[in-house]
Amino acid sequence: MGSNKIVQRRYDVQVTTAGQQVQNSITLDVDVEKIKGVMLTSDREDLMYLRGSFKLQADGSECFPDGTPARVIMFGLGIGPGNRYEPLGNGSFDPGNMNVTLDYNDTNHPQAVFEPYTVSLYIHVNLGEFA
Amino acid sequence: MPDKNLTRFFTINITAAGITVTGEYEIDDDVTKVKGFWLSSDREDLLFYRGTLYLKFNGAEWVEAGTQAKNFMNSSNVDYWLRMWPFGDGTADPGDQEMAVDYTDNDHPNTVFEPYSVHVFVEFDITPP
Repeated sequence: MGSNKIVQRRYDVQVTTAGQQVQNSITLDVDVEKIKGVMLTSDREDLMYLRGSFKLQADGSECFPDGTPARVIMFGLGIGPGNRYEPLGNGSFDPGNMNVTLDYNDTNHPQAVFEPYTVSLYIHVNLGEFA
Repeated sequence: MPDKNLTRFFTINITAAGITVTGEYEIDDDVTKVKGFWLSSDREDLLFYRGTLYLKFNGAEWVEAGTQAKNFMNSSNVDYWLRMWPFGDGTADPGDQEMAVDYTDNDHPNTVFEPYSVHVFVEFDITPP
């Protein structure tokens, strides 16, 4: 009996103006059997850490409420790569209708002057047994 | 006799800004399982901000193109045996023994390009001689 294949799938959204609200509506690939968890990163982690908040829904259910600070699902290099995610459904969330929606809000912060940046949502997905 | 765990690595040299370089690695015959991998560099700042990659082995994609290299980096205070991104639960079969990494350097405003090396560390189980 083989083990389950876990991979990272990346979904980007661009924040182009200060105070912008952007939505990333994602349809997961059909090969996804379970959602293990999620993490956020950015090409400007300093801006996302101070300016970002979000809401995340999967299969129509709210996993993180509106206004959740982005930094709560950001991870530094002091965490091992295999542990850099916030689990959904104890790490075995049924993808259901395969829809995941990220509503990201940029908010002014006195310690972070706005510049355009990219928000990357990584979804760790379980593709089932591979060997 | 129980299998022995060990780490091997290969190096990809980035000589110009914005290029993609493929590093190919043949897994040794003594390998029984491929457990996982991680990345390091002689210029970790450049790897962190500028690097993306694609990784496949045994004919299958394990890291999709465009995935940020920093997702597979560690700081020195991560326990050594927690530094890898596992393949499955860490017991992938070596299969055809072919591993390839397409590493891409991307411009980033926080960095200025200089040539650097990317080390791909791969953890294995091997059968002791």
